[in-house]
Amino acid sequence: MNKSNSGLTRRNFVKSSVITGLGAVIATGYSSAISLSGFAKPATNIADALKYARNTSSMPGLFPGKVTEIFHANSVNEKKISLEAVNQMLTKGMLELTGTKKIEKAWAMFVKPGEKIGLKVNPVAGKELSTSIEIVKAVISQLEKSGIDKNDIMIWDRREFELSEAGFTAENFPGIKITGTECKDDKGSFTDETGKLYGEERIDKNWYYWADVEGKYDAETLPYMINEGKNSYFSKICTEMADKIINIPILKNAGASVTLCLKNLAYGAISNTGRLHDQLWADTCAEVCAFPPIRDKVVLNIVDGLIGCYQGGPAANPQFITNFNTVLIGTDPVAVDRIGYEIIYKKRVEENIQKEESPRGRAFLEMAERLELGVADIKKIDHKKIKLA
Amino acid sequence: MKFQYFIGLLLISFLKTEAQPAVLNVQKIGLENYHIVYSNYYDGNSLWGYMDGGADLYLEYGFTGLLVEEINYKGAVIKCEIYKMKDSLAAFGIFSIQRHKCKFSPEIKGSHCINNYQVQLAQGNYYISLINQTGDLSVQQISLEIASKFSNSIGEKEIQIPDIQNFRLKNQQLIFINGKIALGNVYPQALNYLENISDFSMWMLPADNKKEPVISLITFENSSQQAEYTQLAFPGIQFEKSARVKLNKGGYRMAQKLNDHLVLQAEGKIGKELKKMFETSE
Repeated sequence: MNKSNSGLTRRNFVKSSVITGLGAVIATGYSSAISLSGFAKPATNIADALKYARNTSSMPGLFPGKVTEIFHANSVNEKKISLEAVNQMLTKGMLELTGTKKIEKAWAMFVKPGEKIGLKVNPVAGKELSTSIEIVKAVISQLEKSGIDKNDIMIWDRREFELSEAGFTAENFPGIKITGTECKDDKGSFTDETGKLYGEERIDKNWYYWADVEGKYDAETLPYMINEGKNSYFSKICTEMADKIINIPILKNAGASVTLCLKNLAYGAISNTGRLHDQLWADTCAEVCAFPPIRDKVVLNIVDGLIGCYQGGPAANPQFITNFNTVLIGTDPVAVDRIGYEIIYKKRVEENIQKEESPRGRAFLEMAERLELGVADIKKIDHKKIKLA
Repeated sequence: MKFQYFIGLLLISFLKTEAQPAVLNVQKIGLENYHIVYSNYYDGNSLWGYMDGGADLYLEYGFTGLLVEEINYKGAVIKCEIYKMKDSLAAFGIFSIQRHKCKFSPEIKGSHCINNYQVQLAQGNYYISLINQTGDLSVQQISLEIASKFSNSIGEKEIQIPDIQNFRLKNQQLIFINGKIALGNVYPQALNYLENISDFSMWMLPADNKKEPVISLITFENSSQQAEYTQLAFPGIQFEKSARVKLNKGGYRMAQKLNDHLVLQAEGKIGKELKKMFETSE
């Protein structure tokens, strides 16, 4: 596996951190939480994450609590996304978010030449419901205009093969590295000749999210999880390969909740996730993002709401897939998720799928706010709306 | 070494084939002149490999295996997802939670739902989803033809729904829920009193509009779970045979014990007729 020169270890993370601020939340040992219903939940090592002081890139980033929502009526036509419209939406949104007049200046606030930039997409639901090729092309085009070398950009997710199935191929993105933590070889095997999973080489055992829930998998499932036990290891894509991450999830529901910025990062960056869905879904979404490889590297969130879904997610169920014709942009993943949550909730009510709002649906946002990752209170969010066409 | 590797591969492919239960496929329904573009089988928890977190809902209902066959038939590309569930109720349940704004066809025997881009079918232990890319009328017809062949091949009758008048009248909207994930999808407010009850199932009739209540028939594993529900759903209220509580958002939650593990509940704005039904047994 290729490693970039910007390797980040647990030790140099501590060295590079600015030791300020977070003294009050530093704790030792593992903590357990109380669920909304008052029952104790499994303990996690979130206290470990909070030991690391923040730096200037840490969430919620340069614009806490600010979200730009761009709507373009002609961005999707007959399931086809207009690259031109998306480019326009991205430009307007970036300028509005940053308050600059030139798009190069806007991008320069987040990334600079020489840095390795990882674009975290979501290809989980196949061609029907994944981050669109068009929005990623628009981001890459603007990054290049802002001086970022193509060789320093990579598209990534957990599953390399899903990236390819969703259209993230060398053909569509010539010269851009496309990589995943879980991967197969040319013959379709997850393991090498010795039976070792290729994915094992791609996780960083220095960085892990521990939760008191045991992951046990059958032989068919293990390649998708990489390891069993109580640790979920961070991908080396986050800890070593990328200096900065631009998060590009798709606007999707997950039951009465949403799977947007925080979920895309949390479940996309670690191994052994199967065990975390049942009791710790909300906690995982919030807590994994509080670990430095995510918290201190994700500089921008761009939600692809051109085509999304309001029910049946995170899988693709065509009757619930709709054109939202929207893009959300912000540095604060919690605030962006809160606005996305609102869009999906309104659509669910409109379609008579949900009658009333369930506080459980946004519990992960409140957890994330308590971890100082962003603003969950909708009244405190600076929500700018732009309508195009 | 190479020989051992080859034997190993053979053994793996043999075991994989052996592990696959007899799942219905496109070949078995008698479809002719089609071409398989893609095919994969997912067993048990490996469903996470296909749909990541979306798998939990299927696993909660009780999932045996999924065969995905993407076929090219009469010039149309159709993705056939053939889910074998643990029983017919599980198949109906997963179908019921995913149907929306359905059209129907007399050519399909089982519970089904037709949309422009998808035909869904629940029959016997199978939940089948046929997805097309274009939504064109001609492609919808091709999907319907395939769905009809699946329906004829399964040949099993539909599941029995509970004998409650409202359920019978609106059986095309009835949802079967078998756990917290499904509940969170369609009736999240009920998690307030059911989240910590480990084994329950529910037949749920959603409200058509704000003037109607959600009506549900909840089956608990035992009487102690039923007692836990009554405490959480009707805190501080004596619950012999029936009870009601006024909701903060307006309307009522009313329930009636049908036996020591079965409860009929209505939640929302409850009309006179329904109210009377609950009150007669108070």
